[in-house]
Amino acid sequence: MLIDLFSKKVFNMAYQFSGSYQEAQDLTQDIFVKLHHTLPKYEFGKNFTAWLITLTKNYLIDEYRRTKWEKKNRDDFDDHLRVASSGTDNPEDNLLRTERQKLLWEGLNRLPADIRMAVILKEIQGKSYDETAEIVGVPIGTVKSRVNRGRLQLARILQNVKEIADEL
Amino acid sequence: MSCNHIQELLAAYTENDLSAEDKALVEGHVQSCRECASLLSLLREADEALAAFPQIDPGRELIERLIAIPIPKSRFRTFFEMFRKPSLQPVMAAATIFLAVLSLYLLNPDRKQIDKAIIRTFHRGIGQVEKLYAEAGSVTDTLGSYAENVFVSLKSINPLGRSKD
Repeated sequence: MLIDLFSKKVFNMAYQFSGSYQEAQDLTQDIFVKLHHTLPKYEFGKNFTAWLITLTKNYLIDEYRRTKWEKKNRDDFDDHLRVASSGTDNPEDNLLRTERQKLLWEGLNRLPADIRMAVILKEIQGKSYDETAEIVGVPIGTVKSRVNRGRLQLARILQNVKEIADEL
Repeated sequence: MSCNHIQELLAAYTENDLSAEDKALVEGHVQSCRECASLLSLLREADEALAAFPQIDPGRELIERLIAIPIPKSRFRTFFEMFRKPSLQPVMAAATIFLAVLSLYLLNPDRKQIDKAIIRTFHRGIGQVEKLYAEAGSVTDTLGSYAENVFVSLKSINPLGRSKD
């Protein structure tokens, strides 16, 4: 039941954060083991999804601090994500967006862990600022600042690539 | 106003999260600065691309690994399982019988009669114990005079039945 409902969400968060398919699988397994052990602490009536996402975020950040993933390379975007990438009917738009997504995927690795997590939650997972602040456990102003810094850094990565392309 | 300062405001500008003064500042700047205008456009494109980021399936192998995770036993379950140990079964059976008898007594409408019978039996028992005690006292007195002779004759018995020579 829990696996059917939440494995995809947890796995995608782990994959977007770590950038490694294999690592994300192991992390998802570890998170579900932790979930089984901490389930008795869940207070009924609270938002379970938010509770689970908070648990996932805490585990990912803790593991990141312990193992320092930033030294590792992310999987190639084409390995798993290009096939799953959906788009509009226009093939040219699809291609452009996929190319941008590829750059952003690699760009996520350049963001510090806190900023990367805020961007993933707000921009990719589609959480509101309020929800993101609750999950991350910081004031809403701090979340806005982190998300904006992350977005700007990613836009600058796109800009650098565009400038290089224009020069060629 | 420097480009760096304006660029720091661009993300908040796209979310309409600036004061009227800062908003006018950004709009005035991007009209005359190609670099900042380009960055603003790319910021919006990045937002759109991130929002459409593909969500992938975790895969059958991972699902099987998740299903195989053993669910930890709760404290209550462990507590109750303790009583199911085979070694405790006679104790549990005795406790069940005791509780059954106790409930028969407590719920019996003629409980007062039972109480009286118990008290009567108890006092009769005490009387018998007193009688037995008195009899036992007289027996030890009688034995007292013979005790010394008994010990002497016991010492003279040879358990192997052989002579001292």
